Amino acid sequence: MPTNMKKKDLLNKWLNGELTPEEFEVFRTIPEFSSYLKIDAFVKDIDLPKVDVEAGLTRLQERRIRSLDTEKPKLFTLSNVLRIAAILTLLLASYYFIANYSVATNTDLAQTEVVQLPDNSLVTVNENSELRYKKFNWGNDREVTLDGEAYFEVEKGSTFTVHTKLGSVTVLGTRFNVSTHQNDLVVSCYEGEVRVMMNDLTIDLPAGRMVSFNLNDPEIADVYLKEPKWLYNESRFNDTPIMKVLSVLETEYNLDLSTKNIDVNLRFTGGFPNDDLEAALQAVTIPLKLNYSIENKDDVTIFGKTNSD
Amino acid sequence: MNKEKDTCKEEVFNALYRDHAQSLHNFLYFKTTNKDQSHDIAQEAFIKLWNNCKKVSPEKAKSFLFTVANNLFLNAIAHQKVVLNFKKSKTTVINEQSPEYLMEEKEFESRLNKAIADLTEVQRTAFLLSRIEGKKYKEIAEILGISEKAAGKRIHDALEALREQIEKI
Repeated sequence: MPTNMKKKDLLNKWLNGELTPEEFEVFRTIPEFSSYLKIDAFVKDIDLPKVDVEAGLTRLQERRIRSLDTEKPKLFTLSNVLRIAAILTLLLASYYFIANYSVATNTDLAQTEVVQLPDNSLVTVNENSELRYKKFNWGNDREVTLDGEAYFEVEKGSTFTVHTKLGSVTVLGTRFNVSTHQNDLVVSCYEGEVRVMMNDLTIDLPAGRMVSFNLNDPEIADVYLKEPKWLYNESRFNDTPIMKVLSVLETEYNLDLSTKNIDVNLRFTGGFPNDDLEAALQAVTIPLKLNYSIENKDDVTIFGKTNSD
Repeated sequence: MNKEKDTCKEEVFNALYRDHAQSLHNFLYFKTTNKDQSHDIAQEAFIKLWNNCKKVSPEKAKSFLFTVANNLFLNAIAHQKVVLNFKKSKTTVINEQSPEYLMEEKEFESRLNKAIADLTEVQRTAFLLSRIEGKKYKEIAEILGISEKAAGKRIHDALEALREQIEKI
């Protein structure tokens, strides 16, 4: 009985037609032999399609002649048109998506955030504000939308526009602050020149000047600082009516503030820190010769001195 | 050295066609098991030979044809499921056999057909080149662009796979 190795060898020789008659005698004794033979006989008998060589050759010559007058592939078959339409739709959809995709920065109470725009311009967003911009095509179309307050340091380049719900500010490259508070729009320019547009009014604001719009006419004033105070966690006022100062104080510390015997015509120039209530109250009351009392966070009263004795 | 351009001569090309058309068709038939597809691919391969006649000498034409045909096959239809119905060429001999024998014979035929269809395409091609065409390992290895040993293994494995299938039950 041949070993497995020997069997394999014999089988290979048989398949390759190399068996000697003696080897074949051995090969026919292995148990698989009859199956091999049966398969081989069947396979050898398979009817192969006969090729009509001359006809094939003639067809080939015809094709060769035809291919000489260069066949142009059909471009506008239905399936091609559909493919192109599908690709265009996809491109359009992704363009629309990318072009309208905007990045938003939201800040909470007592939180500021620095946003770096694609051209390295820096925006410091003050608390309770929202800044939105589109990354797409930023180089040609520098536009942001602001609700709240932010300080801008804009790199030189194409026109940079800040849209607010009250008006818009347009610059080329400069440092400025934009603040919207209820119906007030205050723009302070620290460097370069900015153009402020509100309703039909257009004001070109040079460095060192600020403009506040509210429902009335714009008021232009000087800016004494190089950067807005709130960047260092301070609120800053310049000859501002007392009630407005107190309303900022109220929102800054989330207070419930009440007043007693206060002259509403008082105006305040100065600042108060945003992280120390006691110091802030002092900063506002002492220069104006007012007093204050804190019962708890929800009950702060500011009153005039005349009534205290 | 002007022999290299001979393939471009009409009579040389036609002779190559007459020499290799049948074996190329068979080769493709083993792969596709479809007569029409085999013919289409074979014609395509000859067109490619004609287009490249300057680069392919008549000696290299055969291996060029088989390689191109194999690539065309892979591109076009390798993924199609094979439906096989090989038929025996002569059926006259078994007429006098008993009905039981005929039944058995028929079943064997269909089982083997299925088993051949179930072989991998490379196994089937190598095996049928060997058994039907009677080609030696060396020639098969050349056609398939593999080593002689690999060709032998494919044929050997194919035969064993077929045997296992028909010995079942």
